[in-house]
Amino acid sequence: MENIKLDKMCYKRDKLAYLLVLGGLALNVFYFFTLYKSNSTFFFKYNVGISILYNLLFMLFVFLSAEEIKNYHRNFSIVLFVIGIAQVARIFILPLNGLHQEAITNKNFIFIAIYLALSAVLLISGAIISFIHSTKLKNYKASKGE
Amino acid sequence: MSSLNLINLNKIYDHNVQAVYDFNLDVNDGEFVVLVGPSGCGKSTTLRMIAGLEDITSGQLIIDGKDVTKMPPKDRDIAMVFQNYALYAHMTVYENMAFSLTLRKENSDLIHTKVMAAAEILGLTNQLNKKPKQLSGGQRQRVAIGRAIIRNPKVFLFDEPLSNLDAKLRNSMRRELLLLHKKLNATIIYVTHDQTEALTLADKIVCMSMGYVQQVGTPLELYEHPKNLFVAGFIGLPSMNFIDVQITEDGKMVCPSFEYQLSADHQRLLKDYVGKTVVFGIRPEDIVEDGDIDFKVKINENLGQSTLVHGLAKEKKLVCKFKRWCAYKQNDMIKIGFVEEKMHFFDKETTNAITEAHNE
Repeated sequence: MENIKLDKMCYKRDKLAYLLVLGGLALNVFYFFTLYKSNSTFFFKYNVGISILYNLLFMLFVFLSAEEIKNYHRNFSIVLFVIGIAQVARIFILPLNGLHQEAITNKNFIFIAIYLALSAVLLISGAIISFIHSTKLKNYKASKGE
Repeated sequence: MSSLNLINLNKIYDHNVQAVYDFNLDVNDGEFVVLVGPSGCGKSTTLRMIAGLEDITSGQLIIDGKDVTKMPPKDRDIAMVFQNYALYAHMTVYENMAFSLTLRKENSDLIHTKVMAAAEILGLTNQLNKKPKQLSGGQRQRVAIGRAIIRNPKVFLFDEPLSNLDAKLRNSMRRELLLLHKKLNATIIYVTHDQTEALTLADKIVCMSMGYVQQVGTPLELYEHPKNLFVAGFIGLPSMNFIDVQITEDGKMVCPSFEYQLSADHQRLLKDYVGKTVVFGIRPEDIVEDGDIDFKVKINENLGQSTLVHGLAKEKKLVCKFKRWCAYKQNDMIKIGFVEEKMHFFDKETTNAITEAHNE
């Protein structure tokens, strides 16, 4: 039974990990839409420029990594794990500063925190599942001499 | 696997265009039946009626004793393989093969086992992760066949599956199909316009023309005992030579090109046709380089182990196939004759073969 499962992995993509990571990406989009909708002058500074740039690179890299983990590339699951941790840290940088400067409301801050936290959970779980699957597949292929 | 009965099937399209007339056929369990005929003869329409892709205007279709005439295609438990493969370009070979069972929401372990077994049979195990565009024509057709195999249907339908392949690949795929049939012992209905495919693959051939079944029989029956002029001309490559001849009272067949003394058996066969014109048919391979008929060589086609010699018996064009390498030059005169027991005669009016049964 276990062998059939592993054998199936040789021909099927890691859809679960892929969908979890895409979910994390989608929640990040909700996050920055909520963050940037404020008209406060706080958002007309260089740190917001860096944040926008980070978001663009984040989306590009997470999407490409999702495509890679779909095909059981283990190294990308490690990268996604690190990005997932970084999502948690992001709650305490721009959003928290914005809250202190009264640029965003309490309600919006809660939403932003939830989006980022959920995004982190999805990215980290996707990364862990991908890591487990790709390691199992690698060992299985090695046992078959491939 | 199962049996199939087609009873008086008719297909009439809009504006009263009839494509198939009173088609009757019994297909036994595990039989390989080939529908053969020229383009537009109704063979693909018949196949599509069996598949449920075309409505049956009248008649009955019975699969395994159950009337499926009005049943939708998905419930008929039939798998069809198309000429253009009909593979999903965005899916891998594995996903293409698993697709029908995935749609049925079958257990994924079972699907995997079936896909791997089919891939093993078809030699596709190393191609399972590839997309169709990365495969050769033959491999794509094997994927299409694999997709049909894993469904384990009651009947397989093949609609000119080898027509898109080059000659060499077609030959090897033909052999593979034969082996596959032996392995699966499947009931197969196969449509082709290529009579070589029909002769090599079939347990039973259905020869069609203009929507009518002309003859049903084994390949040998159709080749050696064609029922009419159409079957005689269609089956066999190069096709049979036909000559209008008159039967004389002294037991000869006479035409402007030659006179030929008929054997006692042939005289008895043609006793009702004395003084009448019949069509004499002789296959190129049944003409021998020995006889009384003058033959002027026009072209030699050396095929290696045999030679096709095109030429004229007086004014009548004939093709002969001699089992040796011939080095005749244009306008060389040779003598030819016919193998007695391989001579065919057809009624000029009805185009039916003149046989002993015909005389009784």
